[in-house]
Amino acid sequence: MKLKSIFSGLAATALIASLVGCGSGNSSAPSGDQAAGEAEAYPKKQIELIVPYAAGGGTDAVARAFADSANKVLPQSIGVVNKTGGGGAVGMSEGAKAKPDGYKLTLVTVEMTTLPPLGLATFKPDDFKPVARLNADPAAITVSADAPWNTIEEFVAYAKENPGKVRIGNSGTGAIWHLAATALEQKIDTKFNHIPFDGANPAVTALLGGHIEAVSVSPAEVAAQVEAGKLKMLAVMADERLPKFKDVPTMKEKGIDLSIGTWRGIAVPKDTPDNVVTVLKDAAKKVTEDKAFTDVLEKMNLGVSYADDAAFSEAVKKDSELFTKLVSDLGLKK
Amino acid sequence: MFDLFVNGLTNILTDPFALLMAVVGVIIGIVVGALPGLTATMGVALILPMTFGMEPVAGLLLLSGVYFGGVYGGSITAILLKTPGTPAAAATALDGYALAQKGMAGKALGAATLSSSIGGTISIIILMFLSPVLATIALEFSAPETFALAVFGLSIIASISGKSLVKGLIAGLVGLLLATVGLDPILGFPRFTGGSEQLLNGVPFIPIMIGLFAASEAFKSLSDMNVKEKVKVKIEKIVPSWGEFRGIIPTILRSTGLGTFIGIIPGAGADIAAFVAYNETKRFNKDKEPTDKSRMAGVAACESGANACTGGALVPLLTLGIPGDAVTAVMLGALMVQGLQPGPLLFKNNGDLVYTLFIGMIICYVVMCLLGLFTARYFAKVVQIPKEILTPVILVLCIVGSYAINNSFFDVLIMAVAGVIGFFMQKHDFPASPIVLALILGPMAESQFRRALALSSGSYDIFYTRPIPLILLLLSVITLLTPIVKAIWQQRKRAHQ
Amino acid sequence: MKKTDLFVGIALILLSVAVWITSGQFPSVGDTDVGPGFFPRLIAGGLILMSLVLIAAAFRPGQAAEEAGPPTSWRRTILGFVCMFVFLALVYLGGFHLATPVFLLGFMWLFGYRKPFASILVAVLVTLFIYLIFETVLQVPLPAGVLFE
Repeated sequence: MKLKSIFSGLAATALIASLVGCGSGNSSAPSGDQAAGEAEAYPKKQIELIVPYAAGGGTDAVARAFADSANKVLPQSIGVVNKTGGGGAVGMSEGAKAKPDGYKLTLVTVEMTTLPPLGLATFKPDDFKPVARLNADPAAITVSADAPWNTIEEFVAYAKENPGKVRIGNSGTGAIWHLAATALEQKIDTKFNHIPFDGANPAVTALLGGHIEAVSVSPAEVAAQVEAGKLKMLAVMADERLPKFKDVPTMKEKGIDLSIGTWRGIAVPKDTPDNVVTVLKDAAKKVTEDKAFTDVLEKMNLGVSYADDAAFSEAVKKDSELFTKLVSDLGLKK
Repeated sequence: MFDLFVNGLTNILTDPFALLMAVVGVIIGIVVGALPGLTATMGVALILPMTFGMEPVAGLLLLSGVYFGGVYGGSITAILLKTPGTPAAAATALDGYALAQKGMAGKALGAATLSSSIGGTISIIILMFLSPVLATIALEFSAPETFALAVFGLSIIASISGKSLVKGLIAGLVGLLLATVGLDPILGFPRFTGGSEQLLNGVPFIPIMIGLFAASEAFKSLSDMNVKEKVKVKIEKIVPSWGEFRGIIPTILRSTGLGTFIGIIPGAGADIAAFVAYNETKRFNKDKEPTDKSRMAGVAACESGANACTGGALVPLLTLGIPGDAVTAVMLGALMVQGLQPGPLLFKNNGDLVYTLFIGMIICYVVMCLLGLFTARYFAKVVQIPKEILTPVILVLCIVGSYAINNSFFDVLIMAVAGVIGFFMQKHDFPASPIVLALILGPMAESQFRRALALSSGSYDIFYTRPIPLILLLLSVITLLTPIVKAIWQQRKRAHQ
Repeated sequence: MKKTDLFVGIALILLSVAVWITSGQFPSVGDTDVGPGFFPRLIAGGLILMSLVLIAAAFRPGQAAEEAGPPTSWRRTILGFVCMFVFLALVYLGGFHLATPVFLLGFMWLFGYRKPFASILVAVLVTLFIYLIFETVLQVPLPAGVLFE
């Protein structure tokens, strides 16, 4: 008898507890955005990281290294999902339209600011809330080792004397390295013969074979050949010289005010609550200080460059304005 | 050089973990290659993060194993089920499936295994001794040369058209038209996309291939399931007899040469090598009607050509630091993560390690050969499974495979539609392989043609004043016109009778 | 006369004409480039030509004797098409893990393979095999189904 009552009592308690649990769950859900108490609760389940490029590429490597290191600092793991297509447009669109709960992050790249002005994307840069930048690489002007130009001044002088003569390879029309080369062309007021390739590697191959005069791709993509003395890098479009190429001047030093490059970072849809952004931003900071992460990037010649949400947003905005103007000047909009 | 070779051999034989990784890699590669949709590239890319924590030799051999196994694995399902696991295996399916239908699945698998391993091994040996010399070929190939190669590849359509030349050419042209969907390769202008973001990169090629080959074949097997005409499967022998093997040796050697050469050329990979090797074998074959012997040679050509590409593709990667295709681009990342910078300095700075890797790669091919021959007997039993079971399983694999490439449901729909269309194409003698070939080569031909004009500032001289484009374009004309002239001539003769 | 060839020929000519017209509206930029419309037009032109040959051949007498392949069971073929598209819908809604065994069992049953034990074994093993290879070894996610997202 006694046993039975204890049992039913227990059952009742359990029932009530579960009802209360349910109730509170329901009531907290709609107000979740404001509830500061939820801060500890995120993340509660596995987070998905959309990579808008194929597995095996540089962006994928950054994403997977990020996920690996983030698993050490976040209570939940991050799973990488490659959503390729449209030169990044497909993956980034999906990321921009995801539920703003912090469980679908996007590994955004500079294409987030170039695809919309080109008319190739259904998202706008404003659809994202930048969380943290992880990596940045400038454009660089690289020529063959036996080219007649030894400095960027000589190269610019030749280009100005012979408009349309210098064939400069890029990774595709409208791609970041093409935009960098056209920005240079505008600044020094001449004409290049832009040769679009299917990615940076074929452009470098053509340069090695002597089929073009220069490339405007990132230092990482020419590092091996520069070190071997087959190519020489004349200048980088960065604010400061690169630690790996101390002898290569920046464009700014030479009086050409250009700072253009690619970057990769984490972003979430714009309505994501701030506490989620804070958790992710702090995690990203720890990741960029983690040796495992920096090792991977360093070995692939990618520059580690952390920026928090505010600084990253600012940089995104600046790039977005720059590229929107550049694309409309050039009439590249589709 | 000899001491480097001996050093490499000792290094690898005293590293059991690296050997184990080579075996594991080959097994994963074969499975990945055999499954439709999962290509060698994807396999290598997906295994890559697992190698970050390994020693360079072990990690890189794991990846090489996946790469080599992936290129070969596609042939297994292509021969048994007409479900090419990789684009290169679409060529193998041409003759391989016909052999399997005649109950010679085991022999076809055996020939595929042997020629894959031999082609691959020889290409690695070529890589080992001749790469600095051959690397210059990669640099010679600029836009006009690659354009001419693409045209040459397209001219093969005429000889893989099957019963009707006109229908083959139509299929090829439809493939070329499909290939123009998406951003145009030079200006980046979106063509025929209907505003769809999914189509900006073009119609997804692998889902179309899976649909046209595998799904359509599954439907076909349903449609004549009532016919009680069981395939007699007598898998008595896998390893071809010495006589049979001797017959395909010239084919293997020729295809290995072609495959290695095509592998070196940036932008051309195993798929093109397989089709070109197949075509050249048919050119050398004088028999009018396909015989078992000529079919065996066809399988051997595709497989040795495709696998010889692996060594070839590694030539520019290792000596120049430039990857010629998607797989080697991933391998580049793998090498760099291991602290090895491919390029002119690699052999100088890391000679010891590089030769250890070469020996390891040859071991990968030996492992692949043994595994292939031992398991072929069991694989070949797949043909004995009742079609009521096999057909839905194939359809499931088609769907999973086409989804997995881009994690996209859109691709699955494309695959399904291609499957239905492919079924009707089969019914009315429209061959599927010209479409696949055109999808591979169409974008290459267009982009290189227009890039060549950009390089020459609009002058067409660039196509005939250089030797390589001129020769390749002339060869294409011959390849394309021979079957056409033959067909017209035969029709005339028939009309006279 | 082959009716299908005639039909295919006409359809392809219509398609090619549409491609030809659309390609004319593509921008042509620069003096060295042939433009995005050049190749589509070239191909469309070739396709029109070959379609005309196909149509001409379809009218030519004497070739009407089509080789009779194995007779087609249209009931089974169409059932196969339907099964696949139903499966697609199931995967889309309910996810791969749920839809696959259901599809396999249903398909085998519909096409006359009705041994319960073997069917269930196949359905479970195939699903498990694909799950292991894709999600565990290669870490490629399979569709989870919109109902469960």
